[in-house]
Amino acid sequence: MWVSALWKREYDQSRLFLLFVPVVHFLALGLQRMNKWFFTDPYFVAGNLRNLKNMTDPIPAAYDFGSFESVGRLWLMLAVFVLALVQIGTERRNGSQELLFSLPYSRKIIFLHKWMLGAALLAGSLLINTFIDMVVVPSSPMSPYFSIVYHLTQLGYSLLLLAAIYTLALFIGTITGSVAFQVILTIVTLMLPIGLGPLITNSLSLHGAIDIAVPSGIGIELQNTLNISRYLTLSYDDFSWLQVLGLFDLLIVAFFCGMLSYARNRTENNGKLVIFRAWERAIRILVVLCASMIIGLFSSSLFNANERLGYDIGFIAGLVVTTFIMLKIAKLRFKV
Amino acid sequence: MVPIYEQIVQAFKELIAKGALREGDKIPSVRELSAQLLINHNTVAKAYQELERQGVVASQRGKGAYVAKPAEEPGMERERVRQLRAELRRIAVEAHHLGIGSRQLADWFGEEIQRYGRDEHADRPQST
Amino acid sequence: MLTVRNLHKAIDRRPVLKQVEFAVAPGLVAGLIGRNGAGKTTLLKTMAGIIDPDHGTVEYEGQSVHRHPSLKREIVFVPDNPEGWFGYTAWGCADLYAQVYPRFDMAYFKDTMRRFGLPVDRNIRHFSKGMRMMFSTALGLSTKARYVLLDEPTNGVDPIAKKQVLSLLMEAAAEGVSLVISSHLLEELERMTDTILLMKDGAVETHTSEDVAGGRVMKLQVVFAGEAPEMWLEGRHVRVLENIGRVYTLLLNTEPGSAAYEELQGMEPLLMEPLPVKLDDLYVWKLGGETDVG
Repeated sequence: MWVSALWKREYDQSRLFLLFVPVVHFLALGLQRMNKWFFTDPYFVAGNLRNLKNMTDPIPAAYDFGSFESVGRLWLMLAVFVLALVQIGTERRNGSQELLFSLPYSRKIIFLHKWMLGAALLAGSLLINTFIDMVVVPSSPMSPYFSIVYHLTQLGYSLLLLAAIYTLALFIGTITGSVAFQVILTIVTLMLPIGLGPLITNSLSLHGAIDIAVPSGIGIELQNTLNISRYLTLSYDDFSWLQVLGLFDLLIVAFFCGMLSYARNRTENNGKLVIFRAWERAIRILVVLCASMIIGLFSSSLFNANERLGYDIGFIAGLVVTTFIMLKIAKLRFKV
Repeated sequence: MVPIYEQIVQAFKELIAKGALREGDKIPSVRELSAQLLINHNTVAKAYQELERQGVVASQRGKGAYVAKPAEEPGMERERVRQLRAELRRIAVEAHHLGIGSRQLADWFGEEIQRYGRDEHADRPQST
Repeated sequence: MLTVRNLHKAIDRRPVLKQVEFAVAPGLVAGLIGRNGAGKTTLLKTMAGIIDPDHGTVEYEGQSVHRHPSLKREIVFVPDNPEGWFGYTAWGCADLYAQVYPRFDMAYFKDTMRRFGLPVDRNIRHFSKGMRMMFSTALGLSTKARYVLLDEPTNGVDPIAKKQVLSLLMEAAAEGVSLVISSHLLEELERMTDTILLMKDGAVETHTSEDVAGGRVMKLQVVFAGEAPEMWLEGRHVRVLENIGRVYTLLLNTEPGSAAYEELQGMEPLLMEPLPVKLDDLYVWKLGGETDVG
């Protein structure tokens, strides 16, 4: 299973980048901790300690509820996102993918080595910086509140969340035909629940279905749960085992979907938006639906007399127009 | 058009006749000649086989091929001599049709003999 | 033995490969010819496992290379531009390939690079077109794989580099490496190859290089008695290559079903001299009708 040549190629491709990531991670986490407890006016430090003493549960507060870790996670997410682009998207354009595919290895093995590099980057940076933090905290004024459980929880949670996002970005790379569209589709996927939630609840409420969706809060709940980007900056107090389970499922599903579609990669479609026809159709339908809902909501605000009729007219007109545009676009082959 | 392997055979014979290659000289390996002339190695090998068959070169196992001693006894090469006579006849006929006079043809032939011909008395024992 | 069986591939719903069938025996040199856009690159990439076929198989010693990628240790693809190596030095490429191909010959690679005067420590991106092809060819041959597939190794390369690349290929062939070379250099290919693979309408026709006509086409120099038979000359089985005064150079279809030769004999021309059919005659005969491909 282990192919040193593939590992070496993946490593060579992003060597500088890999060294850079733990440093940035340190600037976001270890350095900030030191700033707060070592390089701040002793008067403020003493004040902070006094506040902690009066609290019933001082540990999360001592660790600022994980806000430094959150910033670290944001940087790491940016890093693995770029890595996923380099590993899948840009390789379609610069001949690397053809070179890789001509080697005597199966595409599944190639995908596995790509993924392992990203996983190793995450694990490496998180381990190093957790370790640094675990050295900084006990030697700082906040040492009475040192909690090994806190550090390990943050480590595990960050690793799982970032690995899931990274794997999702890889998977999206395996179905898109260019870097640009990999970027767009990954961001859209991460942000989709935020936009789609209100769009659907508003559309439903116009048609009288509001009573089911909104008061019970299911819509909001669902929207929050599916919004992966929210977990990046989640407070330490809000971590839950259910999230862990969900993220783990996402990781597994994205991994296997990615591996399968990489193995079936349609090399000749590189440069198109999406390289599989089924996915292209699914994405096109989603785009048409969203655009039609937006146009529907917009036109409902123009028809004060009958908002529901306004919505329906807008929705159907939107459906026709965007379908037409989509069919036109499908004929183009973008070289981005 | 003469097939490529025959062109190679002819070229070697000319080089030997001109004295550019002498008896005992090593000739390039199939690989070298193939790369030099950009000709398929099977074609080169075929030409070498033909040269060997005709006794123009002789190969020594593991050492490559060398220019062989010229034929001592024309009787041994009767078939080649017959071919040579036929070739000369063809040339004479062709010259006739092209309206080339006998003297002109003899002159041209003389030039070629000057260039490639062999002095019978010096080089080889009297035959027939 | 490298065998291509019943290969089909459509790209953007346009069939590019249609029932491609041929085999390249060990130690042979095959030339792949065809018009631009005829699908030569697609065929080579499919043979190298870069593109998946819709139907059919590419087999090495009877096993599908798409199903068993490890077989590709014996099949190396040399693309027309080593883009995938940009960012690497020649040295770095050899180092990586040495880990991939078990018989990689580092001494041969170094020797060849020195012979060509190529720097081993410069980024491939900064190589000229000629240097790139010399490097790629040397790298591909250094793997000592049994089959090397080359996509237009001489396209856009200057005459000196071209000669060097082709010499290197001929040397390797003499040592038993099988080559598949796609090229438009018909004259060179005719001398260098054992087999010609002619691509037309997505299919491949195999010809031996020694006798490209193979009894299927005949080239004649003809002088007609009296008026030239215009109708006959424009027929499906006849192509006029050249016409100087009364002398016509013709290609005739001599495959079963064509009576062109018998018809010509019946006209009792003043002169009817057979000429050897060369590869470019075959090319014009087979592919000349189409002004545009793709």
